[in-house]
Amino acid sequence: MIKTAVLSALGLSLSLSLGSALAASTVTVSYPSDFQSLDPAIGYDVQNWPVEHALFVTLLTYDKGTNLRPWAATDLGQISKDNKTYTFHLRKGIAFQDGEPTDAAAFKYAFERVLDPKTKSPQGGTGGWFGNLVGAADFVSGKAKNVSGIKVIDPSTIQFQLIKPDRTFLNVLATPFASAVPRKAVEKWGSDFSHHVVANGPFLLDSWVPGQKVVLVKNPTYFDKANAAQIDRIEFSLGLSEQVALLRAQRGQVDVLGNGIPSAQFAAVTSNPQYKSYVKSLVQVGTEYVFMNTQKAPFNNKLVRQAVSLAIDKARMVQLVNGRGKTTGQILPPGMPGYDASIPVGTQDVAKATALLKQAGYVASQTLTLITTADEPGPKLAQAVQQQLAAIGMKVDIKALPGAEYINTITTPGATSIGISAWFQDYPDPSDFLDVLFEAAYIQPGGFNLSAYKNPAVDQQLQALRGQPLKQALPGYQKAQKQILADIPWVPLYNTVQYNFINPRLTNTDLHPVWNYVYQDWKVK
Amino acid sequence: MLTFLMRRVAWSVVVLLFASLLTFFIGYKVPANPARMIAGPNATAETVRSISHQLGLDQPFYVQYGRFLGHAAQGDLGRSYKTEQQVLPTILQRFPYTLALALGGLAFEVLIGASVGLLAAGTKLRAVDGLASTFVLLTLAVPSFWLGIILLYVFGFKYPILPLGGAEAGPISLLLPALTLGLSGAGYYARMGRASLLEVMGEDYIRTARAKGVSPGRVMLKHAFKNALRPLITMTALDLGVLLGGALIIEQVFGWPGIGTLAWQAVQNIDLPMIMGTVLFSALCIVVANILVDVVYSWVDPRITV
Repeated sequence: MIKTAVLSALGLSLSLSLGSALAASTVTVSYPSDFQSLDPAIGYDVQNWPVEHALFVTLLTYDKGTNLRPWAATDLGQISKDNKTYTFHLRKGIAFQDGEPTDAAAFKYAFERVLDPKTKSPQGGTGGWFGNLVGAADFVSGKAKNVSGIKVIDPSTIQFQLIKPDRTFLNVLATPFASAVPRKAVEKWGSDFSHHVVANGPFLLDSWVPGQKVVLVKNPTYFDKANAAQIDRIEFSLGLSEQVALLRAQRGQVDVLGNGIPSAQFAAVTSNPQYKSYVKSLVQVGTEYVFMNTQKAPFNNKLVRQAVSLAIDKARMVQLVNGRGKTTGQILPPGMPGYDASIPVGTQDVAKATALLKQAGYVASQTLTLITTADEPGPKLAQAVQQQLAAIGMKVDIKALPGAEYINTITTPGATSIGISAWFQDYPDPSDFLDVLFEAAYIQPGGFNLSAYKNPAVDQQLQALRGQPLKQALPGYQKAQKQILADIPWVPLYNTVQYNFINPRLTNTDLHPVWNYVYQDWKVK
Repeated sequence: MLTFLMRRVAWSVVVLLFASLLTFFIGYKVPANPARMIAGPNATAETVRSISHQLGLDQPFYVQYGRFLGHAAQGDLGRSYKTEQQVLPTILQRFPYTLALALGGLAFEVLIGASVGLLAAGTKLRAVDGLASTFVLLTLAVPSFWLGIILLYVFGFKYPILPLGGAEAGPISLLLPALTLGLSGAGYYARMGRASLLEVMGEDYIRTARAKGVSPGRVMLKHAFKNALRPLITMTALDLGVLLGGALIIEQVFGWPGIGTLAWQAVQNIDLPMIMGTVLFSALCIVVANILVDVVYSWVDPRITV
């Protein structure tokens, strides 16, 4: 047993290091797990992307909202009349920290690296975001040594040629996958480039102790002085459980809880007036939903799908996530172009649902399996759906699966009848929801048309809309969404509201709809 | 001695081979595609197939396992599917933290547990024995994660005299996780120590020593304690082997960057190379600990030969 006196002595000696004061221009952010990768061709999740965005420059980026603005490019580019050729001029004087220039060749190299199957990029190959570039298929198959559709006109000019018009190419250019990378450093470090990042963005990677800490420091040679980082250093404290990280944040040892307020402590924190100024919220551009396999009994019967949609109490689902959601009746979330505020959320009607099920000739003796992720709030939502479906006479067993197994199961065509899932935007374009989640082409292993929805008219419409300017295409997307909703492959539940814990000594920390955190904008009071 | 060691080492290789085969088979049979984990949830099916092919995940079990063994024999445990980091250097980088936690936890376990147990049996006072039994029950009943959180709350948050998790504050960071680990296991040592000492105290040679007029203190220290400690040595060595494989729950609670955390994250990500690495490393620690037990035993009790 440790004596009190010993503890007091320890307390005296440690009070400086354990005190609440954080260095003025050092900001600490905590995450429970390590970064997967800071290589912009690899790292692809909400934890990696904001850091990649702080380290690497892309041709375009977003303003405070979802409007594109030039970054390494001088403007939003010149687009040919047939919407297939995009030409960009680059700003001069952009360089990586090792002196290698960030020129047209660096961008071409980066794009080809993402396409190259050897890189194992999530957007690699012809099925990825760069697969629509002329010559991409030949390059991927090894028939060509470079992508003919990416032309370095001169060191300051790059041109992209697309096979077919695709408005979202501009959005793709703003993702970290389209970041220029330094050829010499990448070839030197290979798979370890992630841990030896040579950057050109507002921040540089100072150090990475796996599982413990990542430190970014302000880039003194960042080209855009007007938009340079406002803080000197960001420390990412990794591996702490969410509960311990919250205690640290309450003690002032952590500025920002990267994953937001832990579910178990949500009510206690948000109801405490002391922390009112710490809590920031944002309706995420994503939708939580119940999907039903439209090709498989009993959900191949629209009446059954309609019954399920009427049986579910969406407000209850939001209650179950401590109010961290906004009920919805549509696929597109608020903040996504095409969101239609006139679409009603829909209300629970158990009597009508029961009648519809009877009309459908549903046999109550069968038991269905509802697939959900084992991570919160999956099991809670699944139990609520189970109870609500039981009320109309549908027996459902729950199968809660861990991450990898869950994704593998729901994206295996025919493997599930009903399940719960969520989808969040990669970029602000309705095609990132409607195409990926409802086109028949995405009914394949690994595809995300989870309800196996097939409607040739909708497919045709979505394909045509992709080549049109967004403003012109929006009414078409709204019409397509209404058609899909009328076919009821999904029961949209709610749009997640993210609640973050951010020390008020930081300013300019508004959550961004694409990046979540824009570290380069943060300031310390 | 040498023959014995060679035989044990040969058996150890068989055990490790079996552990690797079993783990690889489970990883192979889990209905989850590691290529999907690498590619991310939004990646296209083509990308997932391409990654699967590059990693050889589309090949039969025996080809994949054979390749793993071939590389492992050369000290290459491959690269993590998730982070692309080399497995062996990653484990070795985490090992000092696991070693420190294991030794610290074990020190608390043995010091607290054995002291309580030997005291309870040695004093023969009812009150002391009752207190010891309460201590044993409490330490066995209280879950280690709960104890850890309470200790963190009290000494890291309410009265902030110790670090709130993590390892960045240096050696002082070890105190709370090691104490939690020690308290969680101390009950077993107390029970074992008490039972062992009571058994020894009933032996003929103790009665003989007493009959010869040896003082009670000398009987206890020179004859009883030494022999009562023998089973504790076995337990300590085996515990060390287990703990060197990573104290998963304690590491999670305290954000301690050891092998347990690494193993847990690997399992969550179906990161087969990292799972194989951590399992093999843990198995190796247990196997080595077993051999050490036999060797130390012969040193403590010369009647036992190896």
